Amino acid sequence: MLTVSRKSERLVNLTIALLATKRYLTKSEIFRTVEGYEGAPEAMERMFERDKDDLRSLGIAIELGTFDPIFEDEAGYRITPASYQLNLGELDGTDIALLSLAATAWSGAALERESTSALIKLASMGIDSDSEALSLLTPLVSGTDQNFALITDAIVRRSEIEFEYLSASLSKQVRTIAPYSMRGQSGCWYLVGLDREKDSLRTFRLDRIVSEVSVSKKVNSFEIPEVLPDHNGDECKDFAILRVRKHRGHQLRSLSRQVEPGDDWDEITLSIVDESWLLRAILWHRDDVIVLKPPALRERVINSLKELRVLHG
Amino acid sequence: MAKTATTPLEQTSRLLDLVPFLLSHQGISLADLAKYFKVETDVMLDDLNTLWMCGLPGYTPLELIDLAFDSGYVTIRNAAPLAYVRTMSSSEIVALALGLDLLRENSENLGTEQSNRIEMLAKKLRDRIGAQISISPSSNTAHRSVVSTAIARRVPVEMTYYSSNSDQETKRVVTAYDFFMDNDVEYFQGYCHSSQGRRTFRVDRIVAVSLSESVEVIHESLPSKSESIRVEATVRTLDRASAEAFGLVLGDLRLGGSVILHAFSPEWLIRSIIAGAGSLVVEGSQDLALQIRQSIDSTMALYE
Repeated sequence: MLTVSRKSERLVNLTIALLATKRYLTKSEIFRTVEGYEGAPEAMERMFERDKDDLRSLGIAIELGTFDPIFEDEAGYRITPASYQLNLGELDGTDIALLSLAATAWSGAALERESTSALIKLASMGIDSDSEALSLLTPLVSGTDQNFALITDAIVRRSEIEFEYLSASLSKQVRTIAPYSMRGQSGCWYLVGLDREKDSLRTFRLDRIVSEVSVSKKVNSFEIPEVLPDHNGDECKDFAILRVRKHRGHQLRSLSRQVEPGDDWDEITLSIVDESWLLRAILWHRDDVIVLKPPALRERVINSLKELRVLHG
Repeated sequence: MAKTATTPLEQTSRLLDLVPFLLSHQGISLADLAKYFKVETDVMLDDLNTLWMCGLPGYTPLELIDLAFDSGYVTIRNAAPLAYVRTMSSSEIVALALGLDLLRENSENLGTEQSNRIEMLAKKLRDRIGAQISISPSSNTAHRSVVSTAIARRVPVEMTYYSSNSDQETKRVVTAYDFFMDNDVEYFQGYCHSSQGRRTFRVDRIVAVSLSESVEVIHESLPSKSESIRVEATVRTLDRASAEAFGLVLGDLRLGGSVILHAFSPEWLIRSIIAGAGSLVVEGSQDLALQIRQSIDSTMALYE
């Protein structure tokens, strides 16, 4: 069955008209000549405003200008080929093959749609992909979070975002964040940003965001600091000293800053980045780990064990 | 998976990308074209029919894009204004830059030239978006490739594997069958010759892996030890970490309510209950409660 989308057709025709023109096209010229604009003037105006927003959301820059500002002509619109066209500098067949392989990393993951369109663009460049020069493995990104693309876009546009986040006590909290960066680590994606309400830098795990991320339409609403604090606790001033049984406690050992080997037990020092997380990890390791310092953490472990004993008694 | 329906905006994006793609792939079959764009053939036919109605203002045959696809093979003419390959969106650039990071991770197999190329390409892309989006290096890709090669060649692997159940690294010989994803974590299934049974392994818990030269016999008839445990527990405090550890559904959790906990290993179950510091209390099993008490007592003894 033949179905033609009038909206898609109008958007493509508008793009062609604005791209092909050497001068700015006024709104009245657009309404008169571009197929698909019909009805009352107000309706056409609304249609055109929506169409501009839609094309901009596809990354197409629509330029507003006049023929001659001295005579205050009516402003017009155009799309310059320079802004429309893909320009990745000089690329050869091996570069195309590497980029194409990089795009396949998202098979089945969050940016699959974006990587498919990127692959199509690479294939349209008319450069033969020299994949025989490569003997590389296909990488694979994990993560299917639907908010991934929304957040990356917000970081690039410097737009604030809002979402519901699952707190440690399982309550849903609305957070407004200036998103600064995203990183993938140990199978999870983390967003780092400035929490507007708390006015401090916070880290959020993407799978704990329980609503769709809403992105503010305002762009360039914040600056991203050149250097963001390290997430591995290098700047942390609180340390824990633990005694860990030989060949046990791999998770805690992997986070240690210092290891003092002993006969049956080793003494490790690690930063306290998140005390609740550390308490949990220590309890999980049961009689393979003893807290030596700080006294407050040691006390929390003992109290938790006493409570657990009563509850399971 | 191929798409069966799309929004007008998605279609517009596809139509704009179709023109330069067709100009560089004249005569491509309709089926291949649909496959490339990951849509059903009917959706691609709709796209071509829509594009056929587009062109420069005037919209006479002289101005319209000239498409031919009746034969099942697609050719395009008179499409000069849309011949440009469209610039990439920030998400497309992020997808490529992160993919390149993962490629470079596998640097053991890369020559200096390729490694430098990847670095330059990734920098070129990141400079365009000015965003700090990164993926931490991990050895997943390299380990995955060894297991993947072993599956293809039907040879076992020798592997050092970290078991979170017992907090131990063990050496095993495994014949791998296939990979699968669950909750964004990649696993592979295989026959573990060391424990003589079918087992599931997380790719990110492989410490070291290499192809094995030895020929191993698979005793498939032996029963697997991985039987699921189910136990009832009371929710004492609402704790995100415990809910995530046991994969509990948020809506099922209420203070004082009961939940069913599932686990494959009693040791893992006991550790996870203790780690929850009393947020979940085991009710349904006297035997398990006894093991938890014993475990707590031996830990408490260290602090006396």
